[in-house]
Amino acid sequence: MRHSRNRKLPVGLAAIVAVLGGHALAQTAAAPSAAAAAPSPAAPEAEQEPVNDTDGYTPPAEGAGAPSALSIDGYVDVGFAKAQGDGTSFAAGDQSIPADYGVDTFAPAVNSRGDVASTNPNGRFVNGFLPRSAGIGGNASFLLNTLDVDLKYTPAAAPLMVFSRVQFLPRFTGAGDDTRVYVEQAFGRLVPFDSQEFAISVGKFDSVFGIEYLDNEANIRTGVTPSLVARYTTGQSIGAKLFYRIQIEPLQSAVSLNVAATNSGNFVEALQPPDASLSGEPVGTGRLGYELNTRGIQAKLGASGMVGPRNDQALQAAHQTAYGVDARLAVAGLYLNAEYVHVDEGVGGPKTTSLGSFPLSSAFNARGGYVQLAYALPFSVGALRKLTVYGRYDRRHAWFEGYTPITVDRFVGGLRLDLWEAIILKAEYLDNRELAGAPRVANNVFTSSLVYSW
Amino acid sequence: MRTTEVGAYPGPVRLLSRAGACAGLLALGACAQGPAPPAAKLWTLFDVESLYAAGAPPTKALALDAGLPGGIAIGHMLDGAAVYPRPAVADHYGATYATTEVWVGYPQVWMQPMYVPITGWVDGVPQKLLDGSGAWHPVFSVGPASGFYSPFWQAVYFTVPPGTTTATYTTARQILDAGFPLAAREGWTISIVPADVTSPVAGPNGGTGWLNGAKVSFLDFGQRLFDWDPATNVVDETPLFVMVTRDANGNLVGPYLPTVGGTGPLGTHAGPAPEDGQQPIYASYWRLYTVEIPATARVFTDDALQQALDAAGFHDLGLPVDPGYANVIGRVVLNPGCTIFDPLASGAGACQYLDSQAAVENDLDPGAIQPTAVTVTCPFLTYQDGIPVAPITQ
Repeated sequence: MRHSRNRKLPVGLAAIVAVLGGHALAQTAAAPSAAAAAPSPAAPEAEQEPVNDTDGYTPPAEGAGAPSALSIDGYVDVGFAKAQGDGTSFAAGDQSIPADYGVDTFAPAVNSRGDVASTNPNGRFVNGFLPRSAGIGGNASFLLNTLDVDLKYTPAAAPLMVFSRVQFLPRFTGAGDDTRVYVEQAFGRLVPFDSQEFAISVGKFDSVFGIEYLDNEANIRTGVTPSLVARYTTGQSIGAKLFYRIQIEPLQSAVSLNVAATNSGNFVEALQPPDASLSGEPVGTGRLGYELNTRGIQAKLGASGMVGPRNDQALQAAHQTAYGVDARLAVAGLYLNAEYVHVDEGVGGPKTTSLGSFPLSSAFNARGGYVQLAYALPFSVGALRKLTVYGRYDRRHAWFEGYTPITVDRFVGGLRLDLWEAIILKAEYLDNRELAGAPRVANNVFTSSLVYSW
Repeated sequence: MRTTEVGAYPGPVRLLSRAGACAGLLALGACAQGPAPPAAKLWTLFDVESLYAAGAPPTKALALDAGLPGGIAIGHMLDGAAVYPRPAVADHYGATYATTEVWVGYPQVWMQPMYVPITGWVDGVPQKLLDGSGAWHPVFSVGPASGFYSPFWQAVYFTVPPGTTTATYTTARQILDAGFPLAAREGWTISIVPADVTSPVAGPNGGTGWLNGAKVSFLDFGQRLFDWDPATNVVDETPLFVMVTRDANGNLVGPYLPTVGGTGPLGTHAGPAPEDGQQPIYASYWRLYTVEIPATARVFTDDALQQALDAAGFHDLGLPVDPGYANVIGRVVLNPGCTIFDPLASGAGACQYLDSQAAVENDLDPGAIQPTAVTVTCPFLTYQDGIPVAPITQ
């Protein structure tokens, strides 16, 4: 029985569109028009896809829009969200410990970072399997999800690009307001051979696993929230990365290889801290991709893997392994993205995440994936440039050693409006379901996002 | 076809220098770091059975390198299929206890919920739902394969409608989803154990409960054997003192002597244990502390214990005891020249034993008492020189 669920998407959506839409219009005059640097994967024109493909998102390096060696880009992501219940996935009456082992704490996501409405366990012990929290509980609230500032420098005399992405993240912590400054990316990328699509990146950069990391940023992501498996694949980390692609022109195809050695692999920073290697041994990751690019159809397939010590503890023998497959298909304005991920972590020593220290790093396993379908309609009516409707189905089966395996899924439906070239308005509803293992809780979410880019 | 940024740079930079730069950039080796802290580890009787099944001898030790010389031999947990009654002293009397779980590196252990179906309440007493044989079947929330398993459960009662059987609710999710009012009450010490495990001493109640829909066997040692922090559900520790001495090289070693059970938190010089009727209530969750036997002290021995000390190179530690006082064999006596052996005696000539928490903490330098990283579930099986402990069930 899910009689307690609130399914008022149309009303809420209409309300938020009305409220935020007016605000967006008021900002139009001051909005710069450089938002073309932030294309969407759901964009109808192929040339508007992210230029770096599996090499991680960065703005275009040159061309008509790159007038100087130094460029400053960024975006502001303003949200409005309302989660059911207390904003967590913790069930009333459940006193089992750790509180975060028997439920999916990542389910009530409210923004593109995967922050949830709340992670407050009401005093119960938790062991670090937690996302970041927006701190709004079950209240409807406006949010400043991200203030993002990107700096890019491309010296004319060297085959080098230096890129940094600094984000300001204002949050209510329960004990007051706090704004975290987060260096999400900072790397240099060297292209040693003019004749080859071969690049070396060193620093803190995007994941190379799967495809969802390409949607990390709010100004890129088709919808608002990441999938239920994004926590395993979309984290940035520090290390070195090699990217190589070879074009096979007769077949209108390309094959690419993206490999990296980093501190923490692909887990999001809330689960594994990327800024230092806790074990002293790097985590290897990679993706082998195939692309078919014809005039009518674009198809991309990939297989990814990760192996190395888990970076939420110090023992090198405590390994984490993951593999996954992904696919993207774009045809006639229809965009299909799908990904499957298989994750195993061995038991390790005392746990440290970006959220704190915890007694144990338990053995853990997860299998899951998502399928997303989006349809983009190009417009040129007033401010409206594009309207995209999308839906996504997520499913995740996971268990900590000795705990009841839990199976959850999620239906996501949403609408996105691209206004002029600088504003994106998105709204979506997350229907979270506990299918097995975890107690049922009211943790559905309505959330929205207004993104200004420059 | 879309192009990428790579290959788009003009560049008079020589290839060799580029390659050198690449090599430098890629030289991101693993940095050597200090030794990693040990992983926290929990052993249950399932693990001990597995070790036996793999051919381990009873002398195979757990919890080595955790501050406890010699660790804990698996033969002192399971003797065949029976829990081993490990000798101890508490409040001046001989006692025995079972060792059902061993933790290393756990700063704390948590109480977990155990859901108990009841038919109602009578004078504030929950009426457990029983099967045809009169047995109850609690629903456990965490299994022994988890690092967060503990045998310390808080009974969470829920009243079931008529017609409910003991097999109706078998998972925590079922109970939470059903929306029953839940009444969290007292704490129980119930170890989930392999089905063949028994107690050699009458007292612990065997039974079966449910874990994730599957039947599991348990040994029930009853209520009131531990306290907990109601804010965090962390189980309170009580000290269990392990006698150690130094070998010829100055290393601490642990001759197999009776341990000394505490009755309160470390450093409180706690007196006699609280009682339920005439039965003292000793804790079930303990942190092991080593106690270095003073150089002038001795251990009362019989022939068997003296031979064991001789074999271990500690001949001088032993002191034969009057055969009429077999109950003090193994006890550390601080004044070996004493003439009155009765542990309850006092005054001139009375032996001064390390046979209670108060004695250990009153009579030794605090530096002789050192914590280990080892905590254990050790519910008492007997007390006062052999009386079986009757589990408290109400």
